This record gives sequence, C-alpha cells and structure tokens, in this order.
Amino acid sequence: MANFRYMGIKRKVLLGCIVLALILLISSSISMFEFTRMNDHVTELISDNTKSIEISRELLAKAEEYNLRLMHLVVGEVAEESIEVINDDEFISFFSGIRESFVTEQDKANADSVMYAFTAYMHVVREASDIWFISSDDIRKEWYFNRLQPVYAKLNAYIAKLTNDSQDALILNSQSLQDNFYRSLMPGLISALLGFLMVLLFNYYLNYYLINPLLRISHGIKGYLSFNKNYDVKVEGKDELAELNDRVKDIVDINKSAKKRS
Amino acid sequence: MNAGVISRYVGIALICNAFFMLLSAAVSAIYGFDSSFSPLLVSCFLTCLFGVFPLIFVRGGRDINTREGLAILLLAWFISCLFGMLPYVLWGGDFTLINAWFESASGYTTTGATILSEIESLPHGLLFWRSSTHFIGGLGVVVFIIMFLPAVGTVGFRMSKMEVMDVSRSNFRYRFKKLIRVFVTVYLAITVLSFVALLLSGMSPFDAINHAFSVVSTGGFSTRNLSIAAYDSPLIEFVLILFMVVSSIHFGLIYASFATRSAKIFKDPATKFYLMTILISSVLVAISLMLRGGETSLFQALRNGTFAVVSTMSTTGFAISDTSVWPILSILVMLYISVQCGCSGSTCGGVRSDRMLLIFKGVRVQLARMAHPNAVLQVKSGGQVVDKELIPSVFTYLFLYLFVVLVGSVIYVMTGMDLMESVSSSISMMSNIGPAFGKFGSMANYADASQVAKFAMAIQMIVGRLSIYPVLLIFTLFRKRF
Repeated sequence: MANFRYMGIKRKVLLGCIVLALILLISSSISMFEFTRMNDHVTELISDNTKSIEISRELLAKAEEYNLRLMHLVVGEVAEESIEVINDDEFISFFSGIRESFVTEQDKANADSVMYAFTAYMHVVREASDIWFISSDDIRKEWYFNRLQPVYAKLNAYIAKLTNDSQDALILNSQSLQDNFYRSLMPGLISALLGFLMVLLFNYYLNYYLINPLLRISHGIKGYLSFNKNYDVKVEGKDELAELNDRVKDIVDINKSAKKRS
Repeated sequence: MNAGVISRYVGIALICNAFFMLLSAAVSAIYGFDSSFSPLLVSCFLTCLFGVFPLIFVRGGRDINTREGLAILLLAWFISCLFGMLPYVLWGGDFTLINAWFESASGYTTTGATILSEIESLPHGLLFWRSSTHFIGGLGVVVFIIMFLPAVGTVGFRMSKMEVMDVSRSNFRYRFKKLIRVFVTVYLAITVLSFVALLLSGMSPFDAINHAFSVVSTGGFSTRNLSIAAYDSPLIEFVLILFMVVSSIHFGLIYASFATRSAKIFKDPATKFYLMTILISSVLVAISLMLRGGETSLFQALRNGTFAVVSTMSTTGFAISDTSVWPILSILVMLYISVQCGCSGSTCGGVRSDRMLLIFKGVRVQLARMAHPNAVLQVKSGGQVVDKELIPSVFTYLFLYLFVVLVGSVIYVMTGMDLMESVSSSISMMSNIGPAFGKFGSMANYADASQVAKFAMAIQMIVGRLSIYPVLLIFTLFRKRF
C-alpha cells in the first residue's frame, strides 16, 4: 500500500489498465463458461428427451405390427409361420433391452411398467401354439379378442404413458431451461456489470487525479501569462504531476525575478 | 465530499472480504476441491481487483469528514453484502440473485436467517464462506477499515460514534485506539475459546470453527439442517449458551474485568439488567412449556426455554426446538426479548438492554414527576446521574425502531404473509436474530418468502445492523449543510 502512494503516473495508468483487463477477462471467461455449460446441458437434455420419445414411438409401432400379424394368423390359415411369429426373437429382444435406452428415472420407471405389461402379453401369446393348432376358428377368435386383446391394450396403454411422460418432460425441461437460462446469464451479467463499474471508476480517477491537475496547471499558467495573476496551483501527491507543478512554480518565480530586474 | 477517498476505504473493506474468500477457497481445497472452489476463487479475484483499484489512484493518510465517514460506513456494508453474493451466485443451486442477496446480507449483518432447506448439501467451502460473512460482519466492516486507517484517532472516533452506543462506557475508560484493540482482542479470544470448547464438547473441527464464528458474531448460521438440535447434546448446548451470553455483553467490560481482575461485568447496571431478563424469561418460558404439557420433565422445559431465550436475546438464532409451536405466553416473552436483546458494545442487534433499562428508568421518573410535580428527579444508572440529553435520544431510537418494524410488517403483509409471520419477521430482521414465528420459525427457513419480502428483509437487516441512525443520516449527504 505504501508503494501505491509514491507511484508514477505511467505505473498508475498501467496498473489501472491491467486491473481493468483482468476484470474484463474474468467476466468474459465466466460468461463463456456459463454459456458453454448451459449449451451442453440443453443439448444433453433435449437429446435425452428426443431419444425417449423416439424409442416410445418405435415400441408402439412394433407392438402394433406384431399384434396385427397375430390377428392376421387368427383369421387366416394356421401355418408354420405362426410359430415364427410367436417366437419372434427380434421383437422380444427389442422390448427386453428398452430399460437401458432411457436416462431419466421417470422414464426408467415407465419402462419397467412397459416390461411388466410386455411379459404378461408374451405369456398369453405363448398360449397361442396350443390353441391355434387344436382349436377351431371361433375358439381362436374368442382367445384373441377376450384373452390377448386385454393384455395388449394394457401394454399399449403403458407405452402411450411412456410417450406422453417423455413429451411432458420435454415441456417441463423447456420451462426449467428458461429459468436456468436466466440463472446462467446472471454470473456473466454481474461480472460484466462489475467491469462496467470499473470503467466508470477508471474514468473518474483519470479525470480527478490526472486530467484535472493538468487542466489546473494549464489554467494557472494561462492566468499568469495573460493577466499576470499569481501562480498558486496545488497538486496533491508526489508523482510527475506534482513535480511538473513545482517546476512551473520555479519557472514562474524565475520569470518574475527577471521581470523585476528588467 | 471526496468520492475517491470513500472508494479507497471501501476498497480496503473489499480486500478484507477477498481474504476470507481465499480462506474459504483453501477450505474447499482441503475438502478435495469441492464444487465451491472455483466460485470462491473467482469471487476472490473479482473482489480483490475491485478493492485494489482505488488504492492505485487514491492516496491514503488524508483525514475524512463526518459526511465521508457516514458514506464509508454505509457503502462498506452495502458493497460487502453485494460482493459477498458472488460465491453464492457463481455456485448456483438454490441461490438465485435475490436468494444470494438475502443470504449475503443475512451473513454480514449477523442475522443468520437462511433461504436454504438443505444446508448439509452445501460444499464445505461455501459453508465456511457463510460463517466467514458472520465473522466479518460481527467484527464490523468498519472496524476492519479502522484497523487499516493511519489516522485512526479522529476518523475512527467519528465512525465509532455511529457504531457504538456509549451507555455502558461508564464502567471503563479507554482511548479510542485502544478500544478498537480491546474489541478485536476480546472478539478473537471468544472465537478461539468457543472453538476449543465446542471441539472438546464433541463437535468436528469444521463444525466447531463454523459455530465459533456464528457464536462470537451472534449470527446463527449452522452447518446442520436442524441447527443445534442435530447434535442433541446438552454439553454442546451449555457451551453455546455460555458463549452466546458472553458475546452479547459489552466487549470493553469483559476486557476491563479480565484486565483489572474484578467483577466489573456484574456491577454494570445494563449487564445486570440483561442477565436478569434472561433469567426471568427462561423461567417464564419453562413454566409456560410445562403448563402446556408437551415437555417430558422440568429439566427439558428449562433446557429448551433457556437455550431459546439466550439464543434470541443474544440475537444468535440457533435452535434446539421449534419455538413457533410454543404456547402464546412463550411467544410473547420471546417477542419482547427479540426487541430488547443484549448489551451495546457487543455484536448483538436490537434496541439493546442499555437503552431498554434507560427507557424503564425514564418512564419511572416521568411517572414520579406526575405524582410529585415539584420534586427534582433525575434518571440514575449505576449510582450516577444519566445525561439529560440521553433519555430523549433513547426514546427516539425506540420510536424509530418500532416505526421501521411497522413499515417492514406492512410490506410483508402485502406480500402475502400473515400477521404473526410479518410482525415477528420484521422484529427478527431489525434485531438481526434470524428465526421468527409461524412459517419462518426456528426450524424453518425463508425459502417460501416472496422475492419482494426477501429483498425488503435484507434491507431491514442492514438498517438494523447499522442501528438506524446512519441510514437516516444518509439523506443529509445530499444537503448542502451538515
């Protein structure tokens, strides 16, 4: 602190600029960091939600397609292909792996419900081989509409819930993102505000401690030269300006003495 | 008024804040560079740069006038609160801009009210920063400044007149320069002793230092969600009661008692009045709790009652039970002691026992004058006649205090709070206690208060901390004559 007292103008301005530059650097770094973090967060959230919705739709489409194939077999001829349909490994493995596809806890919980409904559905589907090869068309139809259709409706309802919840989550996330956007803006805004205040302070200090004394010295010299007024400008401190003021006083004194002699 | 000089001293206060931010960052580093490390470090840099900037241009050593002293006092508190927000805002979590402002003001003014419901989930660095704001606020940003002032005599005295009520000065006489040293010595001694005592009582070192900061500054921030109830330890409660009482007695008296090895503390009328109020209030609350029938034993009722009374009167705000569900008699007693509070010359807020004692004595003398119009009656305290000018000024202070409480209550009612919540919150903020009653009780927080209410509460905390007068005097800054 003691060193600041006797600091020269050059060093004062340099230090002021360094402090100002540092503030602006920190402000911009904070802003960039917050925006990058926000951007990553937004991208991740939207990507998770979109993925959830896509998987739900795919689930719905596959379940519908599978059920249509079963219905086709019920009204049509029972053939070897019915065994392939019932033991469709691709369909079964797709459903079995859905839990891992979701990220949020709510989606995972909904996926568990879908899995539970799917297991119940497949349990009924596996009865098909016994019923179709033994029973008549009427019994097959009765089995399809009274036994299979209710569990399919349940599976469908859970898939629909998964889709709806994912869509709702997307809406909620959008709303929370709006709030977070304001939050992420704040640190950068505050830092920028501090930088702005610092610029104002810097301007004040330059004016009050550097430019004003210069103007007073100039005004004093002008008064002496034009109207022969006494030069009595006072400059606080021990920097170059104070030194300049002392030199001007010396010159004025010498000038006065010279005038007297002549 | 020289803005440069004001900015220089505010800058010094900011450097002090930056130092504690650095300490908090170091704590964060010790606890494995938790999530508060970078917010604290960035805040430290920003605050330090802002503090250093005026020192580059403005020369020191120049004497300051009363107007500048007043401006320094107000700006140092206000700007400290603003910069104190930075670690919270940069960290995020529950700290929106208004929440951070509330938490920061609550810390610096040693109020101890919080907007956090999950305090334990905060990183260690930020918890330490919260307690540090208490420590800084308790000692007074102004005292920090005076410590750095080369011309401590005149400048310091002008500013101290705004900070310290001098009713209790009759029992000790120190020059101002020494008074500052006395204040700092006692403050540090209480911090160290309470830290050691809490450590020996079973607290972890981290909790002990944080609670020591809270106790010495009569703040109230805890590191636990349930405050002191989380420890469920009569020993810890006893230690805290002891240090809360000590921290709310005039520091000069404590120093004088130790320095002269005498019982000056117990001879001081204000301190005697304060201790008597604690005793009577504790017994009243305990009886009220026993009559209600919820307490298991008389010891339990006394334990809960004494802790709550001492915590409230010392304006600390620690809790071991939910006082908002207490019977109405207890609540009324608590509301009264929330206004009276501890002694001047300590870190507590409120009207203060010194002033309350003079008010009672003044009222008694006034009544006696009405009965005996020709009698020459004077207000005496500790066997000495009290200055005539002091009594009206004490009544003026009480009027201003109650007026600000009323204004605060009206604002809070308008934001949707009920009457009990509004009035108790307003008193709590003015006296820098922290907990109120109703939704904002000793086991709750201010998260549910509206944004407007939070902002107004923070302002009220600062007004209360500065003992009203300096804030009102700010208007004179804009007048030509002072």
